[in-house]
Amino acid sequence: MSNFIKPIRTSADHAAALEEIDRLFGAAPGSPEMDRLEVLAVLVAEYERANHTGAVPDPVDVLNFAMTAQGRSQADLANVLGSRSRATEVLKRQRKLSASMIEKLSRAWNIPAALLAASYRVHSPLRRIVTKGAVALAIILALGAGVVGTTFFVYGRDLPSTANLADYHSSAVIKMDDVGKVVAYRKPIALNEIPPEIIKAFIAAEDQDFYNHAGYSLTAMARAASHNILASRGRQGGSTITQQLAKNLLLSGQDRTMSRKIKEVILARRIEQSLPKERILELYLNEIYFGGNLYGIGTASFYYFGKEPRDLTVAEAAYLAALPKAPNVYRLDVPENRERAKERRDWVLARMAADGLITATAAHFAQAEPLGGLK
Amino acid sequence: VRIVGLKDIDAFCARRRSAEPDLRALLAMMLHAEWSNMSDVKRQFGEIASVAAPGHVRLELAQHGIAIDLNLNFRVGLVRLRLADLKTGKETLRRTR
Repeated sequence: MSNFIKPIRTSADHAAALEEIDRLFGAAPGSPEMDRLEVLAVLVAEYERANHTGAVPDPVDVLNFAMTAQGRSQADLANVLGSRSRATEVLKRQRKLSASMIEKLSRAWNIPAALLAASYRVHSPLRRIVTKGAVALAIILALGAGVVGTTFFVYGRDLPSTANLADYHSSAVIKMDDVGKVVAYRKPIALNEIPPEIIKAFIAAEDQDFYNHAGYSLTAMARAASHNILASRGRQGGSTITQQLAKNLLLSGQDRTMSRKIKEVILARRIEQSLPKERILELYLNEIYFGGNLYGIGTASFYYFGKEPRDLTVAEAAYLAALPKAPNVYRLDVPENRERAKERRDWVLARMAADGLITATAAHFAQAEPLGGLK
Repeated sequence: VRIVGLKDIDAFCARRRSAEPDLRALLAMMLHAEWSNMSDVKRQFGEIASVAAPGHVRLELAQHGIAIDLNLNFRVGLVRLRLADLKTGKETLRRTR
């Protein structure tokens, strides 16, 4: 045996040093072998400590192991901690060990206090509830997405094509009676003949988010649904201008049902993908129903005010924008409608001012105007 | 006390993750221990410890199928640790390296 003790740098050095420790383990006290054993022990222990992969143990793991190693039960733990519920909560990681608990356990069970004081995560009941809630929400969202996806796939299969809308021309004749006389007609108007006030009025009245949405507005539909549930009368549709166009052009004659609503949404999305907003507005304004036998802004403008759309005042434009919500409730040619028609027109004007489409002063003066038109 | 032979514990933990919490707890308790005789060892691990020979204690971790043999030299404050398979009684040292 050489007196020289090599530093331990490799696993081979370590293995050799361990073998020597085994040989020297029973060395006589005070002998050179004992001295050598002490030095080797220091070197090997330091080497192992530096290369030891173990993390700091979790205090609850330490407590559990100590209970096993000392033959202790949960009742024994309850005795030390002062109550059964405390013991249960500590072992289930629902409660942190307090300083006094650590001190008691360290003294009574000879567990090093430093091991029990290490940081560890507790599972609070609130945390469990939040975690379970998040999982439940994720499942609900996934199921919801599946239902929505399936619904759109099923309803979207047999819908009319939107491909021809780019070249669509609104028909002038809409309805003839039994002897061939035209009873409903339309005067198609190009978008460049429609003044901005009319467009602003319709956007304020029917679809304030028109330039931002992709055909449908979940917010508007949710608002309409909650209104329909809470209010006893006056059903709302939450339909955008694009949805109304889809309904008028591609789904006419279908009853107001949930399935029609879903089809409207699908078609509106497709229309927005294939047409610019301006073309959608042009089709909408030419197709929309204005009460009686009137279809399209050109016909309504001429019928109610005897003017071309470009000659309408802001107040008149606001009145026409008030009509699509309930055309036969607000039509001017029925005298008893005039009061509520003015209310609705004034609401549209206020909406335009609130949305910054006209000034508050302009709205104020327009509201002061009489309805005019037919009497 | 100084403990030597930790490498085998690390190797065993890597092989059997379910034993890791107990073995880490055991090691941590030993590293913090201030034993001066066999009674101190028995006091801390009484339920699983048995004195196999003078200066030699066996800790049985039956739930993991292993035992840990400790050679203790109180004068130097040294514990030499070895793993043993409870079924065969043999050292697991070679297999776990």
